[in-house]
Amino acid sequence: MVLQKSQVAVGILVGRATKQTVDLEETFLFSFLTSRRIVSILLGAFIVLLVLGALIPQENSSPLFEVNVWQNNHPLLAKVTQVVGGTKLYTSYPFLVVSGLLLLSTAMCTVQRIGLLRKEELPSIDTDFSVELSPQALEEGYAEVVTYVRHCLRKHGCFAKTESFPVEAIVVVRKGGLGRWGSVLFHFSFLILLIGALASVWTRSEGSFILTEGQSFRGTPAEFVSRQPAALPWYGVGDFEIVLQQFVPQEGQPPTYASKLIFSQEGKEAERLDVRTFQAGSYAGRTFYQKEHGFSPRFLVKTAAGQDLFDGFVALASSFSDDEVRYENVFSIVEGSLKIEGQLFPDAVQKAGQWRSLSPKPNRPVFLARIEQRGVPVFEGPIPLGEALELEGLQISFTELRYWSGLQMVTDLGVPILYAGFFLGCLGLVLRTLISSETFWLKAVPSAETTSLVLYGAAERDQALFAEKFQVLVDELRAGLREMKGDTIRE
Amino acid sequence: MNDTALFWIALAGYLVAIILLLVSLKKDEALAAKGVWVVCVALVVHTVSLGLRWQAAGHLPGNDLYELNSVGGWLTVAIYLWIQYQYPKFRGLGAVILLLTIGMMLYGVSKPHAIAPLSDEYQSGWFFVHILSAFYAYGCYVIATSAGLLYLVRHYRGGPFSERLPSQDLLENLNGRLIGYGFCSHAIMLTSGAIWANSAWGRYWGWDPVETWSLITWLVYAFHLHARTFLHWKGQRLAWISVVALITIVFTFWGVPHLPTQPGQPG
Repeated sequence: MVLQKSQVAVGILVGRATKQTVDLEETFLFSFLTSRRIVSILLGAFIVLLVLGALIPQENSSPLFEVNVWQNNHPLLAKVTQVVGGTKLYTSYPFLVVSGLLLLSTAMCTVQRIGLLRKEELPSIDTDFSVELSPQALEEGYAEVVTYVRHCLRKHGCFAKTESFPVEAIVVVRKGGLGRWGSVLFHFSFLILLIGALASVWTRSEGSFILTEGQSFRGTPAEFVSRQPAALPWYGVGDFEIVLQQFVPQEGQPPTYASKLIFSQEGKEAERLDVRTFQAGSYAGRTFYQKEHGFSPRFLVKTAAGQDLFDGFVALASSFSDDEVRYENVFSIVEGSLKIEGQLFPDAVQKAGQWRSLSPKPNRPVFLARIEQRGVPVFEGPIPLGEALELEGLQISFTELRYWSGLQMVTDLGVPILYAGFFLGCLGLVLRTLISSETFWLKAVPSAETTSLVLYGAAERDQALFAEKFQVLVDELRAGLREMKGDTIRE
Repeated sequence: MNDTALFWIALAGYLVAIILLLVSLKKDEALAAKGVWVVCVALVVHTVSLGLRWQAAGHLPGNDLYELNSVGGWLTVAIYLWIQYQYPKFRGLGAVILLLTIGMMLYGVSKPHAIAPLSDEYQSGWFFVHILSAFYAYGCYVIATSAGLLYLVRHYRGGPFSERLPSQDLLENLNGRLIGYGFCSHAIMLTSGAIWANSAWGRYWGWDPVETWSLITWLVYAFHLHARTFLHWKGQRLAWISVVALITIVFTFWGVPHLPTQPGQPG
């Protein structure tokens, strides 16, 4: 028995271009989309378009003032890019065509990869490790040697037998076969993400509404301030009621806000949810985002005879500028023929005849009002919280101040699909990067007088590391076989 | 002793390790082992620094550029030590990695770094998945590029100095392997960032320059992996791509905030 040599054989088991037998793969479109040259060109073009999009302010994603500043600073360049659609690059046809083709190409390459994995191809390699047996030794020691090699391979973690191996071999074992499917799973996840994105486009509906503390919302279309229904009307607005229990402004820079919501179904409280700035909350497939806030003063209008003409909250619009926030509105009370226009100062002080607010906290609320009755101005001045204004035949009281909260409600069937795509992609990448497929096979190679047993090894990647591991295995086999058949081994 | 003082001690440790690792290439090989031990000690100090910061701030470091770069540096050094353990023959690699790490850490510490509470925007599990995967990816890329640079040194400069460096096969192997890990983590970063953006602002992707450059970088690495696997590119071409790819990452940090398309303040 001769221990001949121990070299390392490495090779790529997957990813080689082979002629496929599936009909789809013989079509022109398939060949075109899986052509390496086309994929490289598409990838390059996509990167170039992205770079251009990052360098040129985009009308539909950059802030308007930045677009204007850039256009003013580079008038000629701005004109040229506008003409060629460069300022709306991400919705332009070249971008959509390139990204669409790239996605199709990814899909086709995934199909191709599955085919290649099923029809694995072995690298052509020279003898790696061989044990040459004489005819006598073959009769006596063949089974023993094979068992020993199998045992050694098991010790190295190679258990799985592979079916449909393209080479006739005595022993075929593989380690990390799952890793070879990782890249297929990763590419497949792109398709899931694409389906999720399409589902999102077709099923996403958005609506904004405002609630004053204590007010409820039942989701009727009329209650939305603005609403963008889904292209496919799969989702209704909901059969639940939302009450804004409390609005909580929070300290910090930038300041943040939270809406404490109570959800009820069929008159019973179902869930309490805090929706904060930058932290959405979800209930029954709807996601709620904290968007705006402001103040709702409560006014009570009575006649001189004590009859209530109006008792309710009026949400004031909030407008933000660099140094102040203005809360103002104009509203009419039909019964008293009143038109009230005014601004609220939540923490009011008067300096040099001018009203201003020291903070956005409602410490000393004052409503600076301008009131007209039947089109005639009848009052202009401040109404502090808790005070009443006596007009001719009417009493107007500022009785209470509450917050209102502006919330955005989103329903989107694409979200769970996108999440599934994300987790599949992660799983695929983890399999791909952490598990490297290694295959070992033992062949009997007969010659005129002897039969050699040859051990082959192939690693999908990390060949340098595999070479070291293979060497360790070979050394172990050599030592073990010497021990078993010491006197018959020839170097 | 506060976290910043420990940060500087760790940084000094990395600097000493660089000197030892470089000298070991010219003179005493035993110095290389000492250099690796210095890195281990410095990493422990760095870990304590980050721990103190975490305790003082009440949140995982990641609120400003100092914290982000410190975490990034820590992860890079940790990955390097793991690689060094797996491939003990990698001499000289540590010096390049530590040099890039020190650059990253110095950039971070040059920015304002008073401890601040985490704003609501960042109080999301997805955000931490996002930044940790980002820095794991960048750590892998830094090491891959270091391997690529050493490959290029070996390729263009022969002589006894190059002979002391790891073999080109090993360097190429490490380059491809680390880019694979980084690419995986980068994909997690992009997707978790999109999910985080959706939970914070109600949109997955806004095509802002930082997002776009991050995608460009990922695609460049995708090209590297595909060129290696399918186009069977090898050696210096792949090494050069990994250098170019790292430049696009550096641009994402330092260049993008100054683009005309970038809203808000740099960083």
